[in-house]
Amino acid sequence: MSAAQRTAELSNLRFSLLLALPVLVFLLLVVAYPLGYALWMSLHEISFFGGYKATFVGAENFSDVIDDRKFKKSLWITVRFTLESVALAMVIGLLIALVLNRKMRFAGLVRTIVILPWCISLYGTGVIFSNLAKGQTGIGTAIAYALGFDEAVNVVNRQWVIEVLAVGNAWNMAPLVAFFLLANLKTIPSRLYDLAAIDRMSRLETFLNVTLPPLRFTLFVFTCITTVLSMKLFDFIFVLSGGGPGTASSTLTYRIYKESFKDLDLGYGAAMSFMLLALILGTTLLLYAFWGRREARSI
Amino acid sequence: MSRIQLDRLHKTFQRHVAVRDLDLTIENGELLVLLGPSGCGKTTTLNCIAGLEMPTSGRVLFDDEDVTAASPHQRNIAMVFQSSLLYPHMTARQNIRTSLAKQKLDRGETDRRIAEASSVLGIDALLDKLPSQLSGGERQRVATAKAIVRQPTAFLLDEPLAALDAALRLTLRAELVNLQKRLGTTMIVVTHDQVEAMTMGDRIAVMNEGRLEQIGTPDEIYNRPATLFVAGFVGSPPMNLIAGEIAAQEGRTPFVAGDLAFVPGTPIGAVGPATLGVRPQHLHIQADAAEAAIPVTVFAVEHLGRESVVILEDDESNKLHALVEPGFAGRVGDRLHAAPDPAHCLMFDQAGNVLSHAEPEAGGAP
Repeated sequence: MSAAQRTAELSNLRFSLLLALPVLVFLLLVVAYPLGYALWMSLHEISFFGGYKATFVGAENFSDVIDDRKFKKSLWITVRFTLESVALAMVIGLLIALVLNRKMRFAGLVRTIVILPWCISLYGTGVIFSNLAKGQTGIGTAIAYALGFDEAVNVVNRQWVIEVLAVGNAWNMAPLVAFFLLANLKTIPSRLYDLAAIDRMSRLETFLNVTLPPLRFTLFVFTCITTVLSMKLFDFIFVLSGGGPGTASSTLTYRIYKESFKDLDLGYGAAMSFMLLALILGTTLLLYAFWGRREARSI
Repeated sequence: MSRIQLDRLHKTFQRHVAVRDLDLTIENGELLVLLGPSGCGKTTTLNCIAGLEMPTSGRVLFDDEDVTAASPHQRNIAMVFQSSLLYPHMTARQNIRTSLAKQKLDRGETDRRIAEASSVLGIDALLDKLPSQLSGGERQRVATAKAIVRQPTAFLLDEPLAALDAALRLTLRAELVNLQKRLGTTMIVVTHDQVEAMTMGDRIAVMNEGRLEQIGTPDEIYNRPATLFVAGFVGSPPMNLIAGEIAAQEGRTPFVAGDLAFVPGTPIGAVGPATLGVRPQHLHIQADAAEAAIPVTVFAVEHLGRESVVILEDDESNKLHALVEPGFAGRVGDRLHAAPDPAHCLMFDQAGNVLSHAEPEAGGAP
């Protein structure tokens, strides 16, 4: 190939950049710009009354957030909601997978029914669980009446609202967890169970030594996914409890929504959303450091 | 060590009969091979002996003691599965150790036995590796160590070499037989590979469709097959089977198939449809036509070095195999005649049972 021809061609790097350009532009518009704008807002005091005005305040928003009692309360609510959601989703997902892995009639039909909750939007799940849990329409009341009590049972109360939210969230997420675990279960050779029988393993030992090992990596991945999804969940909570009663279910996302769009304190809300980002990144990093690294090594 | 007996063992899955009223005795210290095509019930039989599967009816006896309802562990059997199954998340050492976990041995004894088994199999350097870090042959050795460490009453092997490449199969097959003879433990090997069966077994039990076709030494199975199925299944290249009938003629009963009129070495009383069986080494190729020869066309010639296999086609497009000297000059398309050796022919009746036995040649097994 002559030198003249070569100059007419693009280098590999340039060509690959050209190919990636549309995606880079797209990411710049939908990720980098809002993120940068949020960062800018978090460093300003923004007011709308008496004309739009943005005053640079440095890290003041952040220090205010850290001192904010309501923020701490929301942080705790988020942590509690996330822990419960993830634990329920993983345990229910695993149980569903174990049941679906058994030989049964109409297995295809059963699988189809089981995946359905995952197909419902979180908004829809919110409406369903709102009606299921409220005193006027809920199953609590229905059971109480059936048992002869004549008092409505409302579980959307200060004490139990987080649990109601966690159950609804897990109901929505567990089927997907179950299907990925089921795919792993199908890869276990049935002869391995025979080997365990010859080694006289108990049912628990067989579960721990034969069933669980191929599931562990998937369990880790889905613990991370459900953790992130639960921490950033908004629409479901907005529909089901609206952060209430009072502020009993005001997770960080709900608190950010309220500060930013109801109280119109955009700078303060933006600072708080970076706290949420730090929480999500920190949690997943910890999960990886203490769990994921070990699992990644063993596969 | 023990003598294992199956007494009218019967196993059905829903409507499918896997094993049909099987009577079988495996002598103490014997290496018995269960041979048959896939789906013949050999693995189900092994599972019933192991205690992994409950027979529908019949009994399993270890040293005259009924163990039909006993668990695999109570029977103290050890098993090696196809593709040398091990727990994938455990190291070789941990895998071997699980065999002894419920034996209530003290730690020193456990470690001593593991060390002994791993030196017997030459896997000392592999003990801290995971199964995924081992080659197929290494996994097979670890699985064998896991089996012998328990000092079981019997070894049960389910297609132990099926997942390995040909060269390794050859090596490990000899190692397994050597090990079994040194330990003197009863061993049952399931395989669909007739060469493996012939080379490993003290005796071979050939199974087909859940039934025992024949049990005997490799020599008996090869030279004196009791049924058409055994004759066709054992031997490579396979025995030539020619369908025809035994005609009643004055003073003699020749076997007639097309142009072939052939008088077997041993007289046969019965008359009717029959099948002639002749091994490739006893099918002689000649240029001249004869009453006792089949006109054939050379279809292919396979040179094996020490000998050659000629695949022939008769006028009805049936394939016949013949073993010839390496210098065989025939070319594809040549017209020749194939003459079965009357001294080494078998006759089978319509039901597939043998009618006559030629005298087996000395040392006839490969």
